[in-house]
Amino acid sequence: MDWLDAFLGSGMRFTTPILLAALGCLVTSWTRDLNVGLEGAMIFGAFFGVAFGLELGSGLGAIVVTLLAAAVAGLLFGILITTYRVNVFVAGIVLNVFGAGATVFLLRSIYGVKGALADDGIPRLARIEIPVIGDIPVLGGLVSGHTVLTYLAWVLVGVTVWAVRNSVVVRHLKAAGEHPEALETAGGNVQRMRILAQVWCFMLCALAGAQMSIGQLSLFTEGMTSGLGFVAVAAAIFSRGNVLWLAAISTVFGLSSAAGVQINEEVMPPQFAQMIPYVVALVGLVVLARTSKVDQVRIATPQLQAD
Amino acid sequence: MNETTRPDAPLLEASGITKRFGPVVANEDVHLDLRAGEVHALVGENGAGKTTLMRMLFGMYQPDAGVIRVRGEERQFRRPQDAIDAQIGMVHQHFMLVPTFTVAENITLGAEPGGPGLYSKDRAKEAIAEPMRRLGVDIDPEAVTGRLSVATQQKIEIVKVLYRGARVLILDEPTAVLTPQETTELFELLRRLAAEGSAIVFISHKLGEVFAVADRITVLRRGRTVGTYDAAATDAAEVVAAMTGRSDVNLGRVERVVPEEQPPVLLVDAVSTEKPGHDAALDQVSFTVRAGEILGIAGVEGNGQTALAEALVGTLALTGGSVSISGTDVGGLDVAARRDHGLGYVPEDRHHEGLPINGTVLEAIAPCEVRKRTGLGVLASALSAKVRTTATGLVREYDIKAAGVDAVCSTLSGGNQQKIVVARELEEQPACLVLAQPTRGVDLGAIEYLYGRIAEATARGCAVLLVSADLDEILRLSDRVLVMYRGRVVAEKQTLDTTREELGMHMMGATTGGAA
Ligand SMILES: Nc1ncnc2c1ncn2[C@@H]1O[C@H](COP(=O)(O)OP(=O)(O)O)[C@@H](O)[C@H]1O
Ligand SMILES: [Mg+2]
Repeated sequence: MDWLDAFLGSGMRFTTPILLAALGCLVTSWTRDLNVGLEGAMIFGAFFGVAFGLELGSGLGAIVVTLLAAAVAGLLFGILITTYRVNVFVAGIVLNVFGAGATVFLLRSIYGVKGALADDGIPRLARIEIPVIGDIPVLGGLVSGHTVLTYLAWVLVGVTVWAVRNSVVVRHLKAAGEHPEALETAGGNVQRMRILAQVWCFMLCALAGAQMSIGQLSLFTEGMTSGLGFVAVAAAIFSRGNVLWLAAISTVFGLSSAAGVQINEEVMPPQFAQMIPYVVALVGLVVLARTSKVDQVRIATPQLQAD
Repeated sequence: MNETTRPDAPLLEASGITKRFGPVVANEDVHLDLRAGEVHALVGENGAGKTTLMRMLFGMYQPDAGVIRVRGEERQFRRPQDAIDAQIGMVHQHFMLVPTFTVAENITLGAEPGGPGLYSKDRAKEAIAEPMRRLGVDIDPEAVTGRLSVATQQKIEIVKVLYRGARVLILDEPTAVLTPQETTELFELLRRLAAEGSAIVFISHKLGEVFAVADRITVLRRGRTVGTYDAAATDAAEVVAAMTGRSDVNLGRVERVVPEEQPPVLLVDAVSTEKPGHDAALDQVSFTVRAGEILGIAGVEGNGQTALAEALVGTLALTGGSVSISGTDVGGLDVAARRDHGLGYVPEDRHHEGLPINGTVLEAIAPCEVRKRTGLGVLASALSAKVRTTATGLVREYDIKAAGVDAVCSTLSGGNQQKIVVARELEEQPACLVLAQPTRGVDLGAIEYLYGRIAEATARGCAVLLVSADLDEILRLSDRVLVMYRGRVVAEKQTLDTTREELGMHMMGATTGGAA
């Protein structure tokens, strides 16, 4: 059963960045500013995780500083799409292109290397081995031996579920997306909510990126997020606002990514195996489109706005 | 309380208010005062500036000049929360309810009970019980708001305002979406709140309603206050004259000779459709319209009237039944072919379908000419000299107030925009004309004019189908009325033999033996 343990452990590791980024993306879907730039935000997170790690020599320190930087970036992005009315879809695409280009540029100009940055000075987040449970077959692979970010991701799932039920801020985020005037005339602040959603999204994407560079490995390679940001966008869209669905879908994507890596060459050529997660996403999309119900709720719009 | 507060001062007072949007002066030197315990109607034509004034009282816009006083104390409202703090609440023309939220979530939005940053379903339920009881309504707090009827949604809006502790309630055209019975019920609620000491602003341009509920009436015309009248000491004629600046506006039935025993022009037989996104599906709808006749289609919006107009014009496919015009079956034809068979259409959504809102008057009129071209003619200039001559002629004939045929449509008032649409359609001399909400957002003067033109068209034999959510319009213009409910025709009446109340009953689903 070793292969199963290895598969599940690897699946959980792949799930972590997808889940983190998708949780961030979910919040932007509430405010109806779906951020499609997760991939770009993640690659920045991966790069600065390594860069700050080299500088500080501490993995956790690197995470904290990367988070702060991400919050500032999210703030700027939020202001761009609200105050300056930049189309959020365009801004997201630009972020993806910018992220890919800028990290390559920084890699060469700061470290003078091409392709990858590996250095003994790059810290790595500790793997937390849980005693007893870690030795149980199957469960051990699932639950034990992950970084703090993996556990954080699942704690955030719980926190988000709780917040959806019991917090004012999620209500205001959703209202800001669905009927901004309703929130504004009730004394809320639509702009603040829209910016907040982007800040949260950027911070979670930064964690997702850092998990890939200093969580799973301790190096940075160009384009190392390899489309997981887009997979996370897909997970956020598929979940249709439901947090538990989002967690489930992210796990399916994570496991299929792991399958892509773990499947033996004798079973399937690796080029095909690596396509598995994307095929799963495509099939999911088709199934979703076919089962999706038309929006049934509607508020009456009494009259043409006065001419 | 501040020392400037005087107990005898009006609850809320606006004086000398001016508000401009670029070159448009929406309000100029406007005065309004509200006393505790009164229902105060604010009337005026579309575009008179009623909504703008109320939005300033609610802190959504800031006046360019003038002062707002609350109980004699000068106040500045920078945002809605400031107005809410001053116990002012507003029910907007377009509902401010989040469709997927529950009733309790919507009512408490912005002032959630349950501790800082927290929302508690149970606490919310408790908190909204009091305002619901005060209003005498009982709505399930857990119901999803978007699934409730329009009238219920409106009650939720009022509960929301009461929940925030408002003493001044502003209702912007609240009756536009209600049936007569629901309107009466709303008026009872308003009177009850006034009796408790609130001041209520009721905006409308329907005078029957205004006189039914208001103590005082303030009239706005083109952004200026014409005056404030005691309802008991004035009459509809005086208020209409103040609203329009004319003393000869006819608000009664449009007089015309109804020809007897003409052949049927529009034959609709057992028509059914799929459910379009925005309306109910049609279910076995049948009727005929004779030459020279005006058939009204009444009903609460969303009961298939829009679908019916679209099915007749050809933008919504039939799944069963047939439509024929002057004996030709047009059910399978496209819009252009139906127009060739004599169908004219004034769509409900003027800005998206009626005319190119960012185009010129010329471009709005040109299609009727351009469409008739065949062969190589399609390659000719669309806006030829001939089209320009026709357009100029129509602008003059219909008295369309525009800077010329090159004026941009969006700069025209709703009434003048609609005159363009009607002029273009009538120019084609249709055998059958479908009018969907033809006078929505149109001023009283233009309404009277348009009715006259429609009456003229019927005199030369045009069959008219009048789809309208406005019962007054149906009662003034049509010869016969069908009432639609959930995609079916539930009643058929001769207009002269029916009443608003009777139609209202059918609009809520009551059927008659004669129809359906
Ligand atoms: N936000 C706005 N921007 C520009 N013009 C506006 C705006 N709101 C209203 N107006 C203009 O102000 C005038 C008054 O409009 P409104 O107050 O809505 O009238 P009413 O409610 O009486 O029908 C109209 O000419 C309208 O076009
Ligand atoms: Mg208005």
